[in-house]
Amino acid sequence: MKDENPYKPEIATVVRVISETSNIVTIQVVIDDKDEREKFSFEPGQVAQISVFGFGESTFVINSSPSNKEYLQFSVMKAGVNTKAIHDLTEGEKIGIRAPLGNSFPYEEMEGKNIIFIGGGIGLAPLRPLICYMLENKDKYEELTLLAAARTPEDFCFNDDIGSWEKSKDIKVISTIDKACDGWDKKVGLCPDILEALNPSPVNTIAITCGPPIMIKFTLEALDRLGFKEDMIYTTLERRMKCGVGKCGRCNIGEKFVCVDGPVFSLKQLNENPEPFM
Amino acid sequence: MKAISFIHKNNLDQWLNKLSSKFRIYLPVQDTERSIIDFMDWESYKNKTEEKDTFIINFTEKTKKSPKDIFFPSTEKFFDFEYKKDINTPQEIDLELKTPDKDTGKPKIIFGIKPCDIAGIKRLDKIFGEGDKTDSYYLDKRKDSLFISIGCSNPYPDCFCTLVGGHPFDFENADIGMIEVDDGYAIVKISEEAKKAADEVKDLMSEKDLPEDIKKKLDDMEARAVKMIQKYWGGTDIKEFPGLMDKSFNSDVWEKVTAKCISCGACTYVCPTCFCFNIRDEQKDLKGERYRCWDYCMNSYYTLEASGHNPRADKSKRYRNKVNCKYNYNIKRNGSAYCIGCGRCIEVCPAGVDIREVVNTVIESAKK
Repeated sequence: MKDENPYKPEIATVVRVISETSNIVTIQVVIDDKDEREKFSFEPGQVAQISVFGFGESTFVINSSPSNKEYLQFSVMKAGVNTKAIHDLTEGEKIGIRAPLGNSFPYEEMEGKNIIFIGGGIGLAPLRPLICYMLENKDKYEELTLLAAARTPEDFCFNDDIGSWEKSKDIKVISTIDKACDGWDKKVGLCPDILEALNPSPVNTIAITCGPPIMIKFTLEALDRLGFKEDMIYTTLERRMKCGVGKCGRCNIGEKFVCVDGPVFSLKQLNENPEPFM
Repeated sequence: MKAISFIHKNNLDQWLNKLSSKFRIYLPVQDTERSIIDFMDWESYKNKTEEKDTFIINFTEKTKKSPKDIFFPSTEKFFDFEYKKDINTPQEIDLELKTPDKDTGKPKIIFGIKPCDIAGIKRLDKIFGEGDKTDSYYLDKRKDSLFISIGCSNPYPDCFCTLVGGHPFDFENADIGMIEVDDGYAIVKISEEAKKAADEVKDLMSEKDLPEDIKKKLDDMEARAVKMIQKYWGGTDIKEFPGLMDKSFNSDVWEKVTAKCISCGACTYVCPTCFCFNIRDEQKDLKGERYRCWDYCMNSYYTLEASGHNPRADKSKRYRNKVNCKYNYNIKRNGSAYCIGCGRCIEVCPAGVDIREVVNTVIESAKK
């Protein structure tokens, strides 16, 4: 690996575009080169740099299941130049991909524990590959719970997944929206409030959260009140990364680089770092 | 300091000429018309001097920029990309990437590089040359290069290498170490790697030419040079900095020390250890290129995310990050301060921010 060019992407083809919400699409892509495609593997939580050449490159978590060898999946919120270019992609178009990058969820250390996933909006994306992995290996884990939050019913991503998980006996799913609206018969309330009302026991339980910064902030405070210790709480962060390989210096939070030391961190690691991560 | 050989100034030109048959030589050249000193390659220097007589080699003064751009250019192409369309199948668009050819030229010699600037490049070596993935563009340029260093007999008022672990006559990472004395240069070190380069010019240098009393002369010069460097930080050892920086992280002192800063980033542009870069695409019609260019953490766009969230929206937070990057994070990550005390940032700052004073104020606040 040492003398490989870390900045040159593999060419990949978009095989499917799925509209999730008004501003989020999911793309499924396949690496063109047969050898590269066959040797490719990743761990849940790892990210990729996705290029639309001429527009740029940005970082997204690989949200397909690690056991899925057919395609790689990414969900992208339209926010800037490159994400808009990704939204404009159609099936058959070529993109660039550098992956896998970064660390992953320590899923082996989590064996034998209860896991509660708390995802807000597109923050469910980084949790998806881990949920898939744990469901495929359910015998290794105790109770799995997912608290999925979104502003409105239209803002949920992965509706098909949520639908099938709701039917599964292996995972308990609680969905909530910010304000009551017609036709919604599930929970109503902000994610941290619903979490506290749910009152999960912190005993032998790991909490994994991802979402908008403001949601993470209040969710962490709620977890603290519920008695979760900082080494039992994980989150996955984003920064304006460029190189993804620890060279360009863009994504530091204090002494940590999100691209190589993260994106997955325990709250303990983040609290030890001088610079706040929020 | 022990001298092993001596080269007369009159022989320098011949030495450089000989070396240039096997190496690409870069050396500090001054354009006296514009008073700019920058590293220039030997061939360009010779061409320039044929045109005009205002170009001179200047080993005494500090170059405006560090020589880092020889290995890490301010703008560097990663690859070309091209969308390929066939007129018969317009809906099928193929894509081709082409990386630039590898640098297969002669190895480089940075001639007349100051000890602090070598320290700067060693720090870049750590960033680009270590870790799970290495930077092929940097390593390709850096491969087999040699440093022929001239010690600093006359440090400038804004020099402070001794405060960050350096020394005006530090030749530890130099391949050939030289000190200007009388009408030539005393050679005090020749590394294994540089033996061949030195052997070829054996006839130009000799131990016999060493001035009388050379040992005393060099020792006196060394003592004088060290004495010329102003003392700051009350003798605080660099190892104590991470603790002190952590302690003062949430202090309001950062607002105070950054009041003058205008976030222009000139300090990072001239800094020998600043390594941050941006990656951009440029495209015209179906062709384009991806390149990297130096970036600067003093810019508010540096951390601005597409969502609008900006973890370092305030100037004081950006400046705090910069100082911590140099005096805290990299000491923890890479074992040395990412400041080599060259003082270029002090010289170039349009607002008169002096990093020595900033660090002083910060550590004072931590010690309170």
